[in-house]
Amino acid sequence: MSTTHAFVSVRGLRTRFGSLRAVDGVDLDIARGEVLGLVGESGSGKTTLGRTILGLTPATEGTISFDGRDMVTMDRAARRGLRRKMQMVFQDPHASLSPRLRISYLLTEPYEINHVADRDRSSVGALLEMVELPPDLASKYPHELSGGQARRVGIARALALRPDFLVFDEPTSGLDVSAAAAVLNLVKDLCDRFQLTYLIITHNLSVLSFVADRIAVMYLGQLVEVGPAEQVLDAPAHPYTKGLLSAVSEPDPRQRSRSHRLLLPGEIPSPRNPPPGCRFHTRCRYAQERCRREPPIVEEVEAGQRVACHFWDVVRADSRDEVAGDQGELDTSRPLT
Amino acid sequence: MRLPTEPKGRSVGAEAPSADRSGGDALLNVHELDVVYHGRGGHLPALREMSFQVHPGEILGVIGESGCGKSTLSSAIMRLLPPNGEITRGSIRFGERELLSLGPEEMRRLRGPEIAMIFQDPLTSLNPTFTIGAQLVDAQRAHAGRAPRRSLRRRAIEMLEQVGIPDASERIGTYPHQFSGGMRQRIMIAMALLLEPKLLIADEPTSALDVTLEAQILELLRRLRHERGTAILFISHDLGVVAQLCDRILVMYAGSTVELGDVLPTFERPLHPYTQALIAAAPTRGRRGEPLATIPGKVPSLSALPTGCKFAPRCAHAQDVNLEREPELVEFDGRYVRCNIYDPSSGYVATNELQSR
Repeated sequence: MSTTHAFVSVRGLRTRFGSLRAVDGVDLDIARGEVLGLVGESGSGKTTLGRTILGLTPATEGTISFDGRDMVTMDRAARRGLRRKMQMVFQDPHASLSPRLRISYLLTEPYEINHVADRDRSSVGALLEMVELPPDLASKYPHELSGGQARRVGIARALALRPDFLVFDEPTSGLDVSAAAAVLNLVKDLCDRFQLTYLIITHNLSVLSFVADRIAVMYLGQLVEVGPAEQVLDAPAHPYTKGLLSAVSEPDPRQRSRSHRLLLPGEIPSPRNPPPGCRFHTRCRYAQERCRREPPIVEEVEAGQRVACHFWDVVRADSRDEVAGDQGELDTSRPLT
Repeated sequence: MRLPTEPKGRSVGAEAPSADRSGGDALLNVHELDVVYHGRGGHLPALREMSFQVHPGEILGVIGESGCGKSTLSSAIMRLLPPNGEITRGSIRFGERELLSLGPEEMRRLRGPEIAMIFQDPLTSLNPTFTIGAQLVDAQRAHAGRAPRRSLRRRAIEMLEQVGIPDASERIGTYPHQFSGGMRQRIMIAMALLLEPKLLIADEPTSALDVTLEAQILELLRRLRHERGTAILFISHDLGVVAQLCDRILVMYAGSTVELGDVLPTFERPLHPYTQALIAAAPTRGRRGEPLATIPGKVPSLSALPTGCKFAPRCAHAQDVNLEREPELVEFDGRYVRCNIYDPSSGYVATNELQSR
């Protein structure tokens, strides 16, 4: 990956809460106009990484640069101006929208907080239109909205300041399938329409398969695999990525007979006390003695695909075999369970 | 609650007693069930003519958007409807018993050892002020009579181990907040299984969990069905989960069944336009990059149900007839569909392609 075109660039980033190392040495670049998906289980540190990049949570160590300018060393006024260009869309809209304020107020609040001049403001009607909501919603309160509508208001609020970079935290969690599909379509349309750059945080890879250009996989504060979405989804080279993929319930009952259905056993260990060596070794079916002692280094295994695993070549070969196998054996006569 | 009179057979009810495949004795037999919510706006029909069966060892998935009546259905079976909910018609047979003619005390004795339920949010069902052990022992106490505490505790530990709680004998002395979300959901399942129910009703049990924990819980449910023959009514809005877990699928819309059938044919060739639309809207790895199909509009409110086909206002194939006439549930080749434009001679609705936006 080249640093020259990076719009958002993160180097050696660490975020600690006391002894808890939520983000523990992350290097990541996001190109302008790119949609980067960040995936991992609860406790992987993905939300903290997103918040740290936006400056909502202070970094303990490392650098974050935005459009070539270092956020950490710049003065406060400049940083404040720059932060307007980077916004977060929060996971639970009902928790982030004050229940006592009308939608019209919630949408213009960012202007008041940031003392935005009138000529730089979008009207409430225009903001609602951007997220495909009817204008009469302006006079309503958050509790009168459906889950999908509230999610759109959260997006409109983030768009109000005309940002260049948006971080979405679980954009579709808790939504019905149709509402989730509509929100994902909208998110993607907005990206194209306003030439936005996205970081989309989720635990569900199937969300990313639709929207992401590249995917970064996070485990216990570190990135274990980063690469173009196609490569990561079709030929994952880290066993954790493979585990996450196998856990996705595809809406296709024929895939139940996949013999390679790999369950990711157990739960993510505490980030207060991560396992020695490779942090994933306690749950990894490829783990050898070496993994318990020696942390893997990040290797570029293919153009743009970086992986931190001692045995990435074995893992990737397995992934490729399985994809090939899937295409050959769609045996519907087999019993389903 | 008004007790049901003789169910009046009509449409499918008359020919195919329970809108279901024949063969084998059903464990749960819901027949022509109507539920009404009484409110200031009048009597709102929450469930209409619900008929289906669940056989021993079978996993039936109930799917539909929020507001389709999925949770009302599970509350009605458990006889735990809110005070303004009333079962106005129909029958719910569980084995040999008619649940609608049981008194509150008999019903209470049934919940737990016969029918158990797990909910989406385990924190609402676990008491934060008692240890897990105390709650697991208590849950048995109500049904186990005078059994010694030590044996109830041993049983609780055993059950926690079975659902994959590590160091169960130590952790049994800790409180719900000391467990992760996935662990709490397992504890809920352990509690539901303590008394070895014949039927488990799972209402969105994995919706709040990470995909990895979800996959583990699904595996646990599969094992349960295999090893004990537990029947499961699995309520979900996630088509992926239903595709991976269930034997049959019941699609609900606006309080009634619009499609019912085996999982494989239903996913391969969904009959009802609503089922088609739900499947088309689910993101899959295979359909990468294409815009996702959505269903225009929203589930109608119970106070403003359309007169004819309830799905017609959102249906891509709706014709005038749908606005006037409510379709009946008809059978074709072991599958059931409620759609006016369904053609029994071909076995499919007029347009079969999945609508993409």
